[in-house]
Amino acid sequence: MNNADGERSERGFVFSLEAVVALLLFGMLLLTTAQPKPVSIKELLILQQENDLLKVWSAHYPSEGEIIADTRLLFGGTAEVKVDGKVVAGAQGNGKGKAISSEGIIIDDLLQEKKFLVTVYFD
Amino acid sequence: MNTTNNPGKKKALNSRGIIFSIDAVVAFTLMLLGMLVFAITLANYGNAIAQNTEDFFLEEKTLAVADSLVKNNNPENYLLGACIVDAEKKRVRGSELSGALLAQAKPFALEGFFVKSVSIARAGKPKQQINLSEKVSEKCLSAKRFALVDNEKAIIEIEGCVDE
Repeated sequence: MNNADGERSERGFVFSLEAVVALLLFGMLLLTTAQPKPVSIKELLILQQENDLLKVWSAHYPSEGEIIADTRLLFGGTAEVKVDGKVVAGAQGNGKGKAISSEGIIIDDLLQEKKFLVTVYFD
Repeated sequence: MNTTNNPGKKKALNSRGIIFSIDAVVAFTLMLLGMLVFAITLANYGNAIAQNTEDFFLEEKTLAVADSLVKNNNPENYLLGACIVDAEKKRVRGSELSGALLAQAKPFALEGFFVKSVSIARAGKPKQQINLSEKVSEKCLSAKRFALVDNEKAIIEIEGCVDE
């Protein structure tokens, strides 16, 4: 900035043309590193499928064999089912990735409450 | 090239035109390369966003149709709801479908999306497939739901496609 006498002020700083170009290039290169993340609603489908299992089991109380068969049919080996904390159907290779769980209370044939927990592991 | 030793003439030559130094050439080339990389990345970024949008559109519509099928009863098109209606309780019984209603499903299309087929896989029985469209599409997605069909456990698979 210039003062009243037309001399350059001591305060502030002025970028040289090279600095401006370098800063612009640096900014442009920084922008190139960002990539859009793919958007998916796979989690929603898994949640809906877990709820499907709980709904069907609430209509017809399943045996342990049916729990295992239904879970494998829908999720393959990636889901785990616990009934009152006891693992009925186990998942294979559940140490990696993400997990979604759904919990529901289902009345069995003896009119007793059973807490079902379905967990699906996925990448 | 200036080969004269006359200082007056040399000064006159140097005062006109543009003189490039090596570092200026390198800097200019780097700047152009940087701009090229930026332009290419920007184009890739735009393409990736367009692809993501199309994938999301297909996924959203397919999941919506599959969810509607196992939760509603839609007499206009049983593809959007083939659940049994409990007349006594006057409500739809979610996840309990009628095979007869599902067999009456009509073709469904919406804003560049269509449902190609519905299939029902009951345990121990051959897979039943209902083809709803003869259109060909390279971008299709299937969504599986678990439900009771005529009181039997079944996997219902909806295949949705982008209308190209």
